[in-house]
Amino acid sequence: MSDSTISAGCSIVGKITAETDLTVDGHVDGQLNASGAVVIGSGATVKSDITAERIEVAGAVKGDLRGRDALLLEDGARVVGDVTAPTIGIRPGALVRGRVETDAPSATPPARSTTAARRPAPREEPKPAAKKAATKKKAARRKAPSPVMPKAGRTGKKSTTKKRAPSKRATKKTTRKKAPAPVVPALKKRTKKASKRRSR
Amino acid sequence: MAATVIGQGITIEGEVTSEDEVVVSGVLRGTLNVEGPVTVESDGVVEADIGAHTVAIGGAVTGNVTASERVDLLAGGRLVGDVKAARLTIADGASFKGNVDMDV
Repeated sequence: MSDSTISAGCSIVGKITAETDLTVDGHVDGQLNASGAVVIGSGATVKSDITAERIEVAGAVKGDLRGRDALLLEDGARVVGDVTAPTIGIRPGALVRGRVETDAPSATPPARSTTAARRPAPREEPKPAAKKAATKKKAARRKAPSPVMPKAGRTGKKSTTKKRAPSKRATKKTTRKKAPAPVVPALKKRTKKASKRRSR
Repeated sequence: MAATVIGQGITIEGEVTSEDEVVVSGVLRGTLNVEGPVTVESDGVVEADIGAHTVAIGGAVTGNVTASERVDLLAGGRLVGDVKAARLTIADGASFKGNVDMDV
């Protein structure tokens, strides 16, 4: 029937289980398991692990993300936690702090169970497929810099200050996030330099 | 602002607070505090105390309901719990078990 939405101004503390698609624009603190797609809107603040068929993030998430099918971090996404899915997309402008792993879909059978059951899987069995995926990802990353770092497009208006502003705001919103704020920009700088070097 | 919709197939266990309308067609266990209206659709199952401005119940609710404005128990709605509200309507075909306090 109706699409499920947790709108801005709505806060849920606890466990959410969804058999359908779910859009979050508000605040969620706890656990989120979905057998459909989960969309975290740009104004959303989520402090929970998320497991879903497909995850799209444009807001702030603190917790591990696991997509059974795919995972997409949009521009403006701020993720602190491990990110796992067979296919992962990270758009320019998305911030990630954590481990990123493109694992084989077959390594995801106990996906709906608890964190304890879920977590060991990718670490203990780095299957050849996962390695392949990793190398693929590396290759993709090597190609990426040119579209990812079009400085003119991003810095054209207000350069770095503009870019840092949202992360500061994010820190305020998601309360106890003192650590990420200073670290994330630092990380970004480094990747920027690295990519510069690579592009040369 | 758009309403929060807890659709069919969604189960929430915990505490839900909202500044806006909440529509429940799924399952909610815990507590529900809303500054706007709450609608429990015919498929909705709520096992929670509800506090809201207005509450319309077309589904099954187990828990105490407190509304600053009004509570409407619609036809087909089931409510087990106490109601505290200035106004209460119970439609023909609704079932209700509990106490009513209209002395707000």
